This record gives sequence, C-alpha cells and structure tokens, in this order.
Amino acid sequence: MDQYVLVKDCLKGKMAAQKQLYDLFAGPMLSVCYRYTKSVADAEDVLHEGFVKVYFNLHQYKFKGELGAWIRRIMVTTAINYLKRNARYQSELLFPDEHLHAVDNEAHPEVKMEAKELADLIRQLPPGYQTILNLYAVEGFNHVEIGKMLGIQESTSRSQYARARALLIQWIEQKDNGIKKSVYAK
Amino acid sequence: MQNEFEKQVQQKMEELKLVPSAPVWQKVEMQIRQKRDRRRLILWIPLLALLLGGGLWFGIDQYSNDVRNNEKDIESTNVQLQKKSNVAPEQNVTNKPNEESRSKIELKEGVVSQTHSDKNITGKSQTNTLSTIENSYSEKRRIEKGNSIIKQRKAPFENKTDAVETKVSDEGIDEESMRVQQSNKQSGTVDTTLAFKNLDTAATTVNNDKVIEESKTVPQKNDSNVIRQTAKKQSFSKWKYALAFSAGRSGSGRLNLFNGFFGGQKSMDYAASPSGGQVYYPPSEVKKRGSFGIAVLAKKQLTKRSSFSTGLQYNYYSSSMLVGNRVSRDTMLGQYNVSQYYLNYPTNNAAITFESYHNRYHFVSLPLAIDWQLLRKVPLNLSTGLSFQYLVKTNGLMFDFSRQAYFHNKDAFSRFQLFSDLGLTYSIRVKNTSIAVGPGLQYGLSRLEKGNSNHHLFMYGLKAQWSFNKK
Repeated sequence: MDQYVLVKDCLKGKMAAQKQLYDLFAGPMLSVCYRYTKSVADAEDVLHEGFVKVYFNLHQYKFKGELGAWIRRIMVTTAINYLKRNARYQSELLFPDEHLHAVDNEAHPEVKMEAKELADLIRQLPPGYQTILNLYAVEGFNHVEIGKMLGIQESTSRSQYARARALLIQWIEQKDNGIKKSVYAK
Repeated sequence: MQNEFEKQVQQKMEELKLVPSAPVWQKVEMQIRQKRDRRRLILWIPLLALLLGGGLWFGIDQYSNDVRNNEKDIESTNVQLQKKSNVAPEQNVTNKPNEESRSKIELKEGVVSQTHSDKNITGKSQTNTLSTIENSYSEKRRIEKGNSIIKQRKAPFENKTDAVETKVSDEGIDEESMRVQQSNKQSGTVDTTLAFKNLDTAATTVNNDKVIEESKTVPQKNDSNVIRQTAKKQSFSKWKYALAFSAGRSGSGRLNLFNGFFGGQKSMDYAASPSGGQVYYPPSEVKKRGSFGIAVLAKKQLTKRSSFSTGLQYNYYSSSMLVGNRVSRDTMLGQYNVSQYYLNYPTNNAAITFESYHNRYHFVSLPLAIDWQLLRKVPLNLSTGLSFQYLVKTNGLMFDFSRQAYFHNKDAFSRFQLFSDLGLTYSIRVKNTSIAVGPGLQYGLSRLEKGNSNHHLFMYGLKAQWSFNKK
C-alpha cells in the first residue's frame, strides 16, 4: 500500500492500517531502540512508547521526507527521554571522569563482525558513550545537535565521542584477535 | 565529519534486523483504543451543549408561547364580556313587557309564575317551567359582573323567591323564533343575542334557568381561566431559589467508560519496566478521597417538566498518594522553580520512606444546568449541565518524570476548568419548598495540569437540592 494512503487510513482510525504501519516499521525501529538501551525489554518499552507517539502525532507528518526517517527521529528522541528519566541510565549519562578512556582517533580496524555482534558491543559501552556514539556515528547528528539533545556542551559531546570511539575500536580489535575485553562493561 | 569507521558502523547497524514480541503491539493497540475512546467521549461534549441549548431554546419558546396564549385568552375573554354587556340594553328593552302585552305573575309559596301574552301574536303559546335557581348572593354578584342581562332578569325575583316559574304565552310566533326555541332546547344553551333579537319582534320562550346557568358558567369559566393562566404565567416567570449540596469521593485520573470505570493516574502514563531486575519508580497510585460542594442557585421553570438553574458554587476535591523522601532545596523541575520536592526512589544517603500526601483543590464555579422531569407523574429529574470552575487554592503535587519526583507549583495547574455535571434526583414536596436528592457525577473536561499530563478531576456521590419560592 502507498505510504500516503496508509497514513491517511491511520489518521482515519482504521485499525488495520495502524497495524500495517506497525508491521512495516516495528522491526527496523526496534533495532534503533536496541542500540540505545541495555536490554531487549527496555528496547521494547521504548518502541511501545515511540509508536504511541507516532500514532498520536501522525497528523503532524506533512509528507516532507521519508516516513521511516520521521518515525526513526521519534524513536531516537523517545529513547533519549527514556534514558534521561530512568534513574539507572541517568547517573551514567553524566559522564563521570573515571569512565574516560585514552584516545587514538586515527587508526581503526575494518569492521568484519556481524551487525548483532557490533550492536551488542555498542550496548556494552557506558550509557553516555553509547548514546553519543549512536547519535553521531549511526544517526549522523553533529555535536552541536547532540549537545542540544542531551543538554551538554558541544565540546563535551566531541570529547566523549572520541573516547567512546576509541573504546569501541579497542574492543573490536580485541574481539578480532580473540582477546577478552578488559575495560568497562556494564 | 564521518570517516570510514563511522560509515562501516552505520552500514552494519542498518543491517541489524530484530523482531519485536507480540505484547508490544497489544500495548500500543490498547493505548490507541483508549485515546479513540476518549475522543468519542469528547464528542459528547458538543452533544451535551446542543442538548442544553436546545432545551433552553425549547423552554424559552414554550414560555413565550404560553405568555402569548394567555394574552390572547384574556383579550378574547374581555371581548366576550364586552359583547355581552353591550347586548344587555337590547335585552332590557325586549324583556320588558310590551305595553300591549299582558303579564301575569303568580306567586305560589316561593314560586313565581309569569305569563306573557302578546296581543299581536296569535297561535301558539308556550309554557316553560324554570327550574330552581340558586339564590346565593355570591353567585349573583358573579352573574352581575359577567352578564348584565341575567342581573336584570333575576332582579325582580331574587328577593322574593327561591325559584321562579315563568309562563310565557305567545299569541303568534314566527318561524325564526320557533327555530331558535328548538335549537335552544336541543343544545341546552341559549344564544342570548339571537334570542333577544327575536324577542324584539316576536315572543319567544326562553329557558331562563339555562340562561342563568350559562350566564353563571361563562364568567366562572373565564374567571378560572384567567386565574389559572395568570398563576401559570406567574409560576413560569418566577425565579425560585435553591441551596444545593453534594458530597462524595473525588480523585484525579481518566474517566474511562469503556475499560473499567475510573482509570488511576498510575494506569498507562509510563509502564514500569520489569526488565533485568533494574528498578524504575513510577508515580504512585492516586487514591480517591472525600469531596463536597455547596451552591446557591436561581432556578427558572422553562416548561412543565424542565427548569434551568445557575448560581455560585464552591467545590472541594481531594485525593491522596504515597510520596517518598522530602528534599528541601531550591531547584528547577521541568519549567517550574520549586523549593521542595519528594523523591520517589531511594538515594545513596537514605533509604526511601513513603508517606501519604493529601492533594486538596478548592474551586469556585458558575454552574449552568437543566433539569428534566423524566416521567409525567413521577418527580424523577435528570440533571445535566456544565460548570465553569476557577481553581482558587491547591496544594496538589505533580510528578516530574525525568527526576522521578513529586513537586508542588500552583502555576503547573490549569486555573480555569470546565466540568460536566450529571445527576438523577427524586423530588419531595414539603409545603412551599421541594427537596431533591439523588446520585451525581462530575467530570473535569479540562486537564487538571498544564503540559502533556492527561489527568482530570472527577467526583461522584450524592447531591441534594432544597428549592423554595421567592417571597
């Protein structure tokens, strides 16, 4: 079904269309939520909350840009809000100094591992690193935008990302070489 | 600027495919349905307003029609009375025995017999016996007022006898007078105007008793009509005053008529995550507490079975919830500056201790209501209406989801609220007053709090109204 018709039907309150929209985007959006959270259950909570927002705000979608991209943006925002209001993530979002790591931004290995493996590695990063890495490397936001979204300085976002990247590269290399990770993992 | 590493990570993440479990859609679907149900509920608001407006219009229209009809009736009554009083001199003339006619009055122990004979008229003679006339002075006065003809006819007899027998001998009667006579007999009433007209030219037999009876009833009927209609007019135009009381239970949440009656605040705001043993602290459940209202109302009868009321009302609502440790510190929660808040989760320094907190809301309101008597003979009234309420004072707490803390700030509440009222009352009449008692329900159509929160105040319980007429 054409996405325009699908959206219009959803707005008319047709439950079949709403289910179809969910079936179309639930999988890819769960992947997004999965990268930002620490467990599948948390990811599903975010997915649930995000889809409710999608349906309640669908009238605001003006068919400018991809529907998928619009939904994805809602999911990312929902995930960040979820992390912010969730006590166990909140403390970690403050980026304590003891979690900062040495940086070597130049060298990086080729990423050969499976998508799920890489996602699991990212999810093992401290929540602050995980969020910034996702926002910058995967979603493509710049540090100014990330700073605004997370309520931090642009420079903080930049430095935190550099450290997150270094830690992830270190883990990828260790995994490639069959070495057990030796650094922070929650 | 992204480099090769970021591109690889992005590409890998795009390849990631996961399938959500079935309960996710079920939860989403449930929330969509709830929203749709709420929308349906909101659709009732214009319907209610339409009902109120329609009722008002109908009532006012009915009232103005009644007034118009009353005026018409009074006018027509006056015209009738005037006509009859104009006819009186005619009758006076015709009723006098002709110079050429012979009149004989026989007195027989309280019975008067009168015989008219007309020289000019030959032929038939008629004798009519009049039945007994009630000789009360009050009736006479009424008759005098209503019909001067009868006054004049009765005058010669009223002091002499209790009953009158009139014998009229007519020597010659024309066809017209005979026809009148017959029609009088058939109908049992007399067209006095026509009869008296005929009397000018010919002798006719008049059943005086019937004339008297009619003349008695005409003013009586008119009088009672006027009295009844005036009373009706007065009852419609008068404002009655009433005192209203209500008491019951109140809380904040969502009225959900489709999935359980009252949804608590805890219900679907943010589901607690059961994942991985990690604890998320949702807001406490809002419990219902006592509520009451008191109002001074002015009531106006619109139709026989409907009335409109408005006035001034005070409402008190309350609810309770469990709150955690109190922290006294100036801080910003959301967009509000607060000096103290209640944390709903344990901190490193202290274990959490929950205690009950009572939210109290004081409103002053302007109620607009319409009462409908559902059954003609049973005083069972359905009361529907709206009330515009202003939040005067509150100590209510709001929950900040990012900090998982309760805080109080009056600015966080919507000052103006629109409430819908629904009630069913049974009226008992005591002397000049009436007391109506029955169950009632109030539901805040506006959101209690500003922002995205979707909490509404509600109250259910008993309501009583004591109405009395204005002196």
